[in-house]
Amino acid sequence: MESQKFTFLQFSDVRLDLPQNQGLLSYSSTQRLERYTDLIESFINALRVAQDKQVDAVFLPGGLFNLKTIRSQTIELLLDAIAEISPIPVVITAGSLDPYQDDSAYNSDFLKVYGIKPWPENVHVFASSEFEAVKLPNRPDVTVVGMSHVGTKPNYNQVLSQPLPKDESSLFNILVFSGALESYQGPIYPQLAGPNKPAPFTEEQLERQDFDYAAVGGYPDLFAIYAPNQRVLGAYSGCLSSSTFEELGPKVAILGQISYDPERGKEILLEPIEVSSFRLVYLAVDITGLDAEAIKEEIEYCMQEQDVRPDHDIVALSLEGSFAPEADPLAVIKDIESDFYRLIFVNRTRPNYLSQEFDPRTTEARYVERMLQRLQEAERKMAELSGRDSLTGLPGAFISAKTVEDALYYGLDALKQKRVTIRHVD
Amino acid sequence: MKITRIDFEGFGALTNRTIDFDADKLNLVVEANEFGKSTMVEATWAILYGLPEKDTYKPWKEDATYCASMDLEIGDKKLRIIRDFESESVQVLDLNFGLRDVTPQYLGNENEDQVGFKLLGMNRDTFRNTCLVGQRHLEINHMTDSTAVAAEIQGIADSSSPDTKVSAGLQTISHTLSRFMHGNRLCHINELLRELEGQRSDLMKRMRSMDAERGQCREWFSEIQAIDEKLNLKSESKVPESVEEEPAQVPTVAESAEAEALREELKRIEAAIQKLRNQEQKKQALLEAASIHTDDGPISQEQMDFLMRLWDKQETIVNDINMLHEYIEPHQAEIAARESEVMDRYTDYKGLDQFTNSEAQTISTYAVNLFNLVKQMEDMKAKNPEFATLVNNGAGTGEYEAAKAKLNHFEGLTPEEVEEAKSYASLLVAFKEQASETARKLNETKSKSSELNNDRNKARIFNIARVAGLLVVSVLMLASPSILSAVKVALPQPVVAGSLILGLLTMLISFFFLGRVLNTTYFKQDEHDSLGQDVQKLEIAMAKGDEKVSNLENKIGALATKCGILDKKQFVTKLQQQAQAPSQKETDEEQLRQLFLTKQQNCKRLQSDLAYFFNKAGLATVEIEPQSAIALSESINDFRKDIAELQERRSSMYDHDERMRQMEEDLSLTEANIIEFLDQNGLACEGSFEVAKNQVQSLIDFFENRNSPHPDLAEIDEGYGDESARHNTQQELIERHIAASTKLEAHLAHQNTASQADVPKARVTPTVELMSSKEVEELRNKKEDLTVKIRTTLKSRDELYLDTLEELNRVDHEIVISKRAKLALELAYEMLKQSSHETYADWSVQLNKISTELLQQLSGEIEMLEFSKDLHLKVKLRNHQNIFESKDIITKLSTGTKEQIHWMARLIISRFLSSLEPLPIFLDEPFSEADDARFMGIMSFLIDSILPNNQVVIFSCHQQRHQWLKQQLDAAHQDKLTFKH
Repeated sequence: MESQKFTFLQFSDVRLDLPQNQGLLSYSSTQRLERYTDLIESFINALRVAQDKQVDAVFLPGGLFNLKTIRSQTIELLLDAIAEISPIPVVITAGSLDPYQDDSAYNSDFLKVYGIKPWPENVHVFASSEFEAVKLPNRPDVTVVGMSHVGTKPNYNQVLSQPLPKDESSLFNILVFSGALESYQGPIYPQLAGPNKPAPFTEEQLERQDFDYAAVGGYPDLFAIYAPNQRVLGAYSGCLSSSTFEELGPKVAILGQISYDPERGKEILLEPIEVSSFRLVYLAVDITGLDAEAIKEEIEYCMQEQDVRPDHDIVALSLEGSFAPEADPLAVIKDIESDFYRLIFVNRTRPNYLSQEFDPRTTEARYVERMLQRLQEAERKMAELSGRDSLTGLPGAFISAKTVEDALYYGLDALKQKRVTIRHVD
Repeated sequence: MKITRIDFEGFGALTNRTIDFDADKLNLVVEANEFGKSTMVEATWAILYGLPEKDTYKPWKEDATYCASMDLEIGDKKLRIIRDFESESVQVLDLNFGLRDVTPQYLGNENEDQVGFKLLGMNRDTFRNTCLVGQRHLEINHMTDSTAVAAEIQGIADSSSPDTKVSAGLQTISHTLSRFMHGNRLCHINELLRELEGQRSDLMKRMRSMDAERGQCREWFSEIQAIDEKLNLKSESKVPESVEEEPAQVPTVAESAEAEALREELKRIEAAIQKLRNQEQKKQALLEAASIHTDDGPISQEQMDFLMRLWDKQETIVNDINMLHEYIEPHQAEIAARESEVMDRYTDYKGLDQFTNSEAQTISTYAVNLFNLVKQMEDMKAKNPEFATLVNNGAGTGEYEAAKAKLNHFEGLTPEEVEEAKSYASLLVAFKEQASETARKLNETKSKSSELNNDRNKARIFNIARVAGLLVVSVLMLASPSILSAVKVALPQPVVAGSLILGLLTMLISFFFLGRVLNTTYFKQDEHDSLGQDVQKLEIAMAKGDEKVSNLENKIGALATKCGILDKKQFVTKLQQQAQAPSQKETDEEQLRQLFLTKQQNCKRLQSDLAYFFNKAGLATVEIEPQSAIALSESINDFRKDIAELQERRSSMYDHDERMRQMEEDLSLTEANIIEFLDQNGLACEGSFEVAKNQVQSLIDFFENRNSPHPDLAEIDEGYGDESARHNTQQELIERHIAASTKLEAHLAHQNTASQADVPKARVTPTVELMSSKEVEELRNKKEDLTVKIRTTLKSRDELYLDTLEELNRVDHEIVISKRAKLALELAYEMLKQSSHETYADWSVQLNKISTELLQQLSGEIEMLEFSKDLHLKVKLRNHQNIFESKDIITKLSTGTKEQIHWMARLIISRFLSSLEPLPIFLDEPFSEADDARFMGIMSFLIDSILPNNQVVIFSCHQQRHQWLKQQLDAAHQDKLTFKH
């Protein structure tokens, strides 16, 4: 048998039509439309890569769209985009955040009722919560085993604990699903915060299944899964575009190649390819002791370090540290704002009131001392509770250290400056 | 601490200047404007503490070294502080030990400059606040408001930085809360939160509605699927054509047997798979049967999840409400108790709440005025007892009340006759005066006339003498030639002629003067005549006057006789007494009386004005005493204060009440949603939440039961193990099926029989009843309706749902940050307020200790000076019984006393802040606005009361004024002044 290879493009967690307003990330309606379009564009760019590279298959392990908010116009766009790359097969599994349901966009019958064309013929959507095997129409020597999250009740069982319907006669067996690797330590989607994760599995379980490759979805970061002997078992491609401050930096699709040589055996090559037209970047700049010019320089330096493209990227710029009360470090922002496609400014600076000496006999000193004590208590309690603070304002309700710190500075603002500067920072 | 010398090498306008100070005298640095006096004042703290901005006092002279030094005595130490402002360095030398460098003792742990702090125990700003008194600082205006003094002291207690006051800070925070910036507008933060919560509530409603519609769409789709199944099964009831029966070619025996065996195995496997599927279906059926029976069928897990979210929310709100209740109730009880206490305190009054602030002030003003008036009237009565009976009946002024009380001494005469007699008496007096004037004039004229006659006689005699003389001379002149010739004295002819001529002339002249002598009228005859006429006139006038007087006397005599007074003189005297104009003393007394009456009138007016307020307060309005007016005023003020305090407490509870109301609203809404949900799903609640609670509990129980293994389900699982075991079995069967199928295919392919025959798939199709066309049509129509509904609903959702969710996220974020800002501001406010109360209370204790010690050493006017818990002053003066509170100090004490109190307070504070070390006090032109009396007073006070403990240095440009001062002082005080240059 001569050597053979199998190429694929893997990407997941596209989250089409995901709501974009998240805390400090706040967009106007026009900007939101741009963001939705950016997500579609990233998806289309990925498919274009698949077409350009003439891959054997596209794997999409979960998170194609946001279940509750996906709109018909977006569905039509994605169906058209997928149809464009026909006959390249596209294998889709539903993730825990976009589970398969009878009335979801994954069901062609539902799409028909909805008045939308069905899934193109080059698409296979796994519709069962049980692992099923299919052969690729263009590659009968490749078996793809996959499962979807079905219904709204998450499956917290170990999904790889039992043998899966692999075809031993196939040259390549590929596993596609959305699951939670237990050893993963990176950021997770806020909706999945909690002690239990849907479809958990371990490296050992995956290794035992003995697939040639596992295309996994469900985490925002690019992450390869290795066996103890460093063999690549599979990978998360991460989300296709950033939406929150937990998903910073470049986001990619994985261009994969599994090659088989009778002598050398199977080898896997994975190449991350950035397909998103923008990145979400977070720059933290400490302005302590800097004047306006120096702050600008520091910002430029941070941008260079992170390879920021100001005319493309969404940049969250956090100014931190302390400044003399009479200074106005924020004036710098007005100067540089117009240089960015989208600049989100986060003001975490504080006036340097605490650097001065307070006469301990005065109200001022007593106030600062009390507030600092309260701040320490709040920090300690926050660590114990490891939860959110209460904003009810009810007596006895827990107030976070952040709020106490704000209070400390607001009081000093009122005393020293005769005006209070409210920081709208979460 | 005492400063003995300051050297200015280069500091602002001052270059190479030295100034020495006396420790125990009042140092007066009196120099012209622009000398640099203020610069010297600034230099004191600059040398001690350094300059925050290095170049502030850069020397004007370019080559001057930017440096200054200070010699001082502190305790038993004598130090020199040399500060180089250019290099920002300082050196401290011990003068007692030969200029030994002791700088390290006055540096901090990290070698930071702490010279001032270690010497004085206070930082720069505190030193400036307490020891340096700038221009115009002690203007009288400063002491016009009782709160201003307390505010100044509180300001020092609040912060060592000037202009940092907690009261202003609290106001700023309140202002920020009430004018909170959101977007482009300002509004109260509570209002903002209400708006945002309202927006959120609307958005949530919309979301719920759209979610409900989506749920409905799901149900419709299920219906469509059911319809499809029915319609498909009808078409599938035909015999499937998928399996073709190919004429089998005759296989070999062995090959046929193997194929047959494979087919049998396939059948067995398919049967087993079917059995598993049957088990599964049975299980599903059992599960469905175990669900709650409702009119519309059981609720789904999804619906249950939704219901549980509502239920959890309801429980959370109930808990929050209980927690808030627990907090609010004791506070409300406290407020109610306080309200009751306040009401009880003022039971003597009614309607105190009706009084406005300005009315309270008016009453206070009236009360003080009334008090002063009454006091003044008492003083006047004390000096003039007859005033006690004075009553102003409003008859007007200028009337002699006393005159009315005078008895009428002219009985027998009618008032007209008395008036007549008065007139006569007046006329008599007038005429007599006139007569005496005339007589005087007559005498004068006669005297003049007599003088004139004398002059005339003298003139005549003179003329006669003149004539005689001239005659003699003329005779001699005429006779002399003859005589001489007779004696044979030869005279020249001219001489003779001249003599004769002169003689003749002289004779002529003599004849002229003789004419004058003979003419008696030539000398002042007119005057003589005039005088003669005057005399005549005057004599006639006198005669007439005498006649008039005589007539009047007769008339008066007649009247006198009529009223029984025989002595005309006595009668006239009495008349004159009656008509006489009041003396100056009487004028003064009358003015005093009028003043008293005016005060009395004003008193009545004030009482009348106060009566309105007394009536309003439910008090008696007769005999309004000043004390009761003062009491009313104070009661109103106290009442207003109490009410304001109650209001503040109530408004702090208002937020909680508002929150409670909102939570109760939320609770009702949530409960209504639960009831609505249950009603919609066939679980009737009859509008009662109690019934709904039972329904929900039943549902919870059901779902809990359902999730635990059903006994029948357990039976079903028996033989196959649990679900995963069944799954494994199914997988095995599938694999075996695939293997067997593949093998059979291969076998058949090899045999070249029916090579492409499909492996017959197991098909288990339930039997279906055949439907009529009508039923099919109905089903199709229904499907179409449902499809239209679904499309319409989803298209509408497409347009709205995502935007609504985005908006909801945005509003949620706004709510979070606004709530956080509000919490932080309120926390800052409470903490600042609490800190200030505690600080003032601490200061009060410390300052009172120092005050007691200091005042014991002094013998001035102030006996006691106390700081209350909020640093208001209370004073007792040596010659007064009363203790004066803050407001009394302002209204009742003189300006000089007020200033002394202010000074003492400042001194006490300075002593406290300097860790009990007396500090020098520098004043820069402090009394420029004071008049001489006040200036004198305060300077005497400084010398007597401040100087014994603190070094005092005054900078001024008023040379003359201070020289004048020195002259005004006695020797002992003069000795305490020293002029410095």
